[in-house]
Amino acid sequence: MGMVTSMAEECGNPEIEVPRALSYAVPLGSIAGLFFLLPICFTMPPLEKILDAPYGQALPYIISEVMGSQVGAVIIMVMILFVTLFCAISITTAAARCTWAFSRDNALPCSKIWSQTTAGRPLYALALVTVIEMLLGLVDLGSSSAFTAFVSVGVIALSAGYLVPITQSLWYRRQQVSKAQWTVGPIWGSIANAIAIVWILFQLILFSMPVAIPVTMTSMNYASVVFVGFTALSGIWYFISGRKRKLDPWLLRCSLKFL
Amino acid sequence: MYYWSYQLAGETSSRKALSYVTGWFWLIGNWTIALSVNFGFASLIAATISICNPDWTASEWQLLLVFYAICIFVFLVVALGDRMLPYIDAAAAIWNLVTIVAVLIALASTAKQGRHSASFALSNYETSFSGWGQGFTFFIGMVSLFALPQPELTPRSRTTPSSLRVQCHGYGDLYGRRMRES
Repeated sequence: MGMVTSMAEECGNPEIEVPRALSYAVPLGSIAGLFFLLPICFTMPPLEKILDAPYGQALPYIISEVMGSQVGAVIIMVMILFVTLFCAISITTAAARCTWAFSRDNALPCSKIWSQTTAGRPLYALALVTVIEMLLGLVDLGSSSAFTAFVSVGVIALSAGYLVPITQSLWYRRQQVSKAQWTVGPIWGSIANAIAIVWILFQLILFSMPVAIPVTMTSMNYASVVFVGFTALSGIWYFISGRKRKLDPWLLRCSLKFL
Repeated sequence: MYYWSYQLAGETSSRKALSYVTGWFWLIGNWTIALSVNFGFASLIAATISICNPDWTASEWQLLLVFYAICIFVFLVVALGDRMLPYIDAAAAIWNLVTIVAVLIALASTAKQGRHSASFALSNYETSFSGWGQGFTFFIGMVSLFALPQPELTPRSRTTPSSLRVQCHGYGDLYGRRMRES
């Protein structure tokens, strides 16, 4: 879903297409997810063994144990690896576009560089994303729990990103939303907003919890620390430069009306 | 995202700051999810190799190098294959479907570890490993479940690859979770 919103700008008819894609994505994704999960639930080996799987990757372990054949398991795993590759391509594209769009609005340090395009492609933003990833990868050598924190902060940050506009919209009594071309009506909309806010708040707390208690230094979930740290850094940058500059979402000029 | 925040606030003084904050949340989320997918990819590769060679385990350095190779490869694909991306997306959607079916058939037909009853598969909640109480484990499971379903299928949007991008989100979450749970 995050990807739909990140790529919204490149749609043909975003006012209609984006909300429609978003509303289909959830039920369809759920059904497909069930088809993936159920066979695993029905055939999986004992949980204690899964928890000891190499690299903490349960899936390869489950598949090789359940199938009982190396060749078969490798074939299935290669298929899954390709799914992951596609996924990596998509997410990197989305992250690059997101970086590029945000730097176009002068919201990043050195925005001038990241907002450039080469032959219509946001190459610098893409390079920035790749370099940041590779630098964060180094953290794993130092401390794996710190690295896990960086990895898991993504869910928290995305949820928080959803939280702000939904809350704003509800706060201002959905004035802007009600003008949109694609709506579900004021009552359902408000209910959906309220549920979303409660759920996200709950999720934020949940994802900040350690997965197992009692907590030790290494099993502690440091995602909340990273999240607050990043937020503080962006706040500092805002006061240094963002406030003076014009943060006028570039898209305004495209007169798109989402939601 | 931040643009929505900007728009939805209407003509208020806080809109700039709020949209800025939203934008940063969004950016951090995207960066770290990309990190988690790529690193999860690296560990999946290592784990796949371990299926064949149970004695071999990648050192942290080797894992990092695999991760770097993935980062650079993905960079090249996205940078050079910009025009191909919609096709890559379509291929990804079909491939996802094929993979789900393949996993379904492969697991269901072999089931070397025995098959579980429906009540075990659908309602058994394992609470003993995490240390959290029953209720909380349920929610942790539920969040994982919510995080998971997004991956596979999404509608083929006519003009854009956008809706297909959905798939990755779930995988990122899944791998992130898996790594934490271990």
